[in-house]
Amino acid sequence: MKNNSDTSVQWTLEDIADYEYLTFCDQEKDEDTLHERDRNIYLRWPRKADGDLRLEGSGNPSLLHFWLDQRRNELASAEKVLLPGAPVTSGLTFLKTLLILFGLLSGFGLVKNLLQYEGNNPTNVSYYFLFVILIQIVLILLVVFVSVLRKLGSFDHLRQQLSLATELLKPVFTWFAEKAYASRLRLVPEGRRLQMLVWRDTLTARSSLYTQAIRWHLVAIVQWFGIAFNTAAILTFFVMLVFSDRAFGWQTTIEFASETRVYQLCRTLALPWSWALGEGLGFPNPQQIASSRILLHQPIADLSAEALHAWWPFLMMATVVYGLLPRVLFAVWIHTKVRTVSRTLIFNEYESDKLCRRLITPVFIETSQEQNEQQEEVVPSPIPYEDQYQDVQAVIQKPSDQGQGESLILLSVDLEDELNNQSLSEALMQRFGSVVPECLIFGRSGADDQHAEEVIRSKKIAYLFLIDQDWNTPIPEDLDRMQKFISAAGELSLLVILLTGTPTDGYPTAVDPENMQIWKQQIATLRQPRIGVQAVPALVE
Amino acid sequence: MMSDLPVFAFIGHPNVGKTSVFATLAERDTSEIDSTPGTTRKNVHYPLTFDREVYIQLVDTPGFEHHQYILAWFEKNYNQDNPAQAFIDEHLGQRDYHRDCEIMKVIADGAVVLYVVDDSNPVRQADKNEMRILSLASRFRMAVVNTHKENSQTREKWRRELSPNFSIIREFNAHNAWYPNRVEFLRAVREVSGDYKVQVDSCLQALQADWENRLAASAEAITELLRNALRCKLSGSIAGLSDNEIKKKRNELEEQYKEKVRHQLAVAEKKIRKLYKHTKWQKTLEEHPVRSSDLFADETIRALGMTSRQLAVATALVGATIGGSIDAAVGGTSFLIGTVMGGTAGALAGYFSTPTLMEVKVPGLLSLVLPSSDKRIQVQAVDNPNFVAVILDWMLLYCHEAMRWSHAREQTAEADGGAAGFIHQLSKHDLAVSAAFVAWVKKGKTSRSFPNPMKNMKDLIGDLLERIADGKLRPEAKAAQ
Repeated sequence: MKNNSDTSVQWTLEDIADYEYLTFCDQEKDEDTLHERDRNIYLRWPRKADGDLRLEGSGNPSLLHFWLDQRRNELASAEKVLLPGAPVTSGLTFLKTLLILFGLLSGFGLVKNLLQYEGNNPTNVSYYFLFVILIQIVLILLVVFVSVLRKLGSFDHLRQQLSLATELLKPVFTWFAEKAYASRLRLVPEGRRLQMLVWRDTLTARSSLYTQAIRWHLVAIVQWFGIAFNTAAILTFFVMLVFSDRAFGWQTTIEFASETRVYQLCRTLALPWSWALGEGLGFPNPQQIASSRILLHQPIADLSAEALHAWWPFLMMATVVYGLLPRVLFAVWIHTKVRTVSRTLIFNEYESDKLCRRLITPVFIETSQEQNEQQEEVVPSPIPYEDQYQDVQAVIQKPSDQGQGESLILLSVDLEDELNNQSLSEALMQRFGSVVPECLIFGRSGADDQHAEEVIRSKKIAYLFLIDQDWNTPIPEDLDRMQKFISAAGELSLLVILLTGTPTDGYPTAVDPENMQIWKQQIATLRQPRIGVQAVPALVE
Repeated sequence: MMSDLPVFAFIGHPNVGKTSVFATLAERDTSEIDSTPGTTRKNVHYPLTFDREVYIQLVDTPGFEHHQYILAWFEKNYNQDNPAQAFIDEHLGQRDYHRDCEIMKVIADGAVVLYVVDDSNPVRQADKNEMRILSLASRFRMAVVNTHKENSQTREKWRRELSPNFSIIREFNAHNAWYPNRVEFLRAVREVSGDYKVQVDSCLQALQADWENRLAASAEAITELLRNALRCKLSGSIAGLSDNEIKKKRNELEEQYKEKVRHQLAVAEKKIRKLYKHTKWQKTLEEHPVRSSDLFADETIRALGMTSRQLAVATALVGATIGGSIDAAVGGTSFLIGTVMGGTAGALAGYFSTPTLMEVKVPGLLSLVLPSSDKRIQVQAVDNPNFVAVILDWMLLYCHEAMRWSHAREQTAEADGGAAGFIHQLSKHDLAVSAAFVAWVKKGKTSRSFPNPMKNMKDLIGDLLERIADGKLRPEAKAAQ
């Protein structure tokens, strides 16, 4: 299957939430109706300048985003449907506002307390330095350290070691969570219980697709706290300086921290701005440092007023350079990262593939002559017939020509006879068109399954179609087998499970909805978004 | 190895109905039955115990989860002494094979294997693998075909596939099976292993004794209910009340009376549910064509009560009993006029009576001479035997459902039964017994024919229950007009 990464469209969390909701809602709907609806959307998709249809649709984020916009518009005009995207956006905005507010309050409160001055003793700058500047410097160094490790490739190793504790605790948490969930589930009626299990497992499987996007969006929001905190700290400091007389000093018990060492530290920290604001202005000189040292029983009047005022430009500049500036730069970088991640989302899992197939496959409508006029009004068809035909050929019959890899059918041994009787092959022809892909039998013996696995591994597979009977609901051995097949096929392939109903007089009948639900629930336990379940069209209703 | 206690283990593919068969045989409706495969996670042992003595043990097992792998393993290791035990030794502690080890555990301990299949679907490779595993692993085995769907197209094919591997094949519909089917099943199981014939025979005898006891205890519970309901009376003072207040008082008493009788019914039903080991089943009866209505509703009385003709006969018998006692008191000098008149009056009253179960007695002319503080209104059961008929029919329907309702059946399934009960099929003798019972409870009168009305009534109900259990008495499809 081709991996499209169209970078022209950006997916926000709102988009992702809406997309997931709409595709999930579609799962239970009639496939023909969905096909007609989605095909109409596709036909509205703008053509390229040269007039060619964009056939490279499978997994195309741009096409899927277009579909999403269209669906939103349709729902907005048709009925009052509250899509989950809007609440997600509101929630994130609320979180952002809360963080900004918290940042402003904490910045204001901290600086106000640290710079408290009642005229008896000068404000000790050490505490301001420790809580406002030094902690932020440590944080910057930590980010740089992790980034260097990541670049060197050592971070994963470190993370593995750090996550050892998590791994040990994980089963305990999982056990408790499962117990709590199971006890809740017992209260739910049987049919609903199954649906809830499917929801839970599907959600877990699909959330893995957006881990990066969600993570970076949240990191970006958190940066607002840092910016607000530093802005509030600087503004509070500035206002206090403008409207009150402040005196700053320092003190120590340990002689190791002598005046010379304090001077060296200040000079080093002031390097980024010392070219503009030199010694005595941008940072205190040795004499000012010595004169602003607070000693016990020494009255404030004995200290030099110039030395007591010399500290504030240094503290202010340190807050700007080591507090606010890195936060702003980091926020800009993360914003870029969010945009990149949002543009490079890969939609190669089963549900998106199914949607793309509906979009790019023309709807074939059998109508009598009398009905033609009316039908044309309902389904606009601006594409010439030849183009539609090519479209079908490209998508259904020769996926390998599109550089997407081959298709392979894996047929349950229980259906082998049906295939020989040509009843199933009719259903397959209905599903695949005139060219039915190569077919392998599974489930007869371990050796047969291993052979099938080797064949899959030796080919470049786009689609594996596993055909089984709906009532033969999968047991762990079947699920293991499916996991092996999809692993052998590679990361860009899909495993589509096609179910047939119980055969009647040799013909497969319609799939039982309850069995279908059980299949979906069992497959969802694999938490593998590249496996999906569909029904083979029934020959006998 | 296990002790001499015969152990029968239900084994098979997930979701074929092992737990349903097990639940029906063990009469255990607490088993978790679900359409999702893998509901049973570990072996569930259920000893069939009578008089604190365990006769046989039934075991419900999880379904096979790795049949292909297990078959390959058994084909490699079948020449070992106890391959099932060898499988456990090799795989114990491996989480993936936990449930498969549970199955092997009962086989290794020498349990008789009851291989359950669902014949509503075709035979699969998985089923063939499992049959082969069992033929390699176990000596004593029987196939149980769960025939919960009628007219299965694949039944014959299943028989063909099962016969080379199982000498005994038994059909069992877990959703419809009840006592006779359980007995029949155990008789078949007895043939699987000659070693257990004596124990299974003893179990069958105990099962039969237990069933007879259930019928007798049910009859007793119903008779006591009838007596208590007939004796139930409520009264209230109407001294100094206006007409409207009397009317209100009367309505209050009627409601209280109905509630009391309903409570007595609920207590009796609970007793019967317990006798037939139903802990969950109750809801279905609320949807029964007849029982879904209120006991005191007109349609219930019409559906369950006696027909006008039956009522005329029964009330004639009550009248005749009372008249007869007057004849006896005058030493026969009345030339049986009392009997004739009583009978005629009773017949006419019964034939033309309105369908009701209770009557309200208000003070008549007597109230003129009574002190005002003694003026009371009274609500009680009607004197005619229709009251007994309706409640008896109500309870017979309940027993019919309770004894036939499979413990594996879905709680939401529709209740069986027609639009009416059994009472219309009662003979004249039966009606006479119930009439004598009413006369005895209400008036304290006994007749020569029925000197012990309480026992006679209990015997009648016991007989009716036996006929229901034997299938000789069925609920009517349509209520009599």
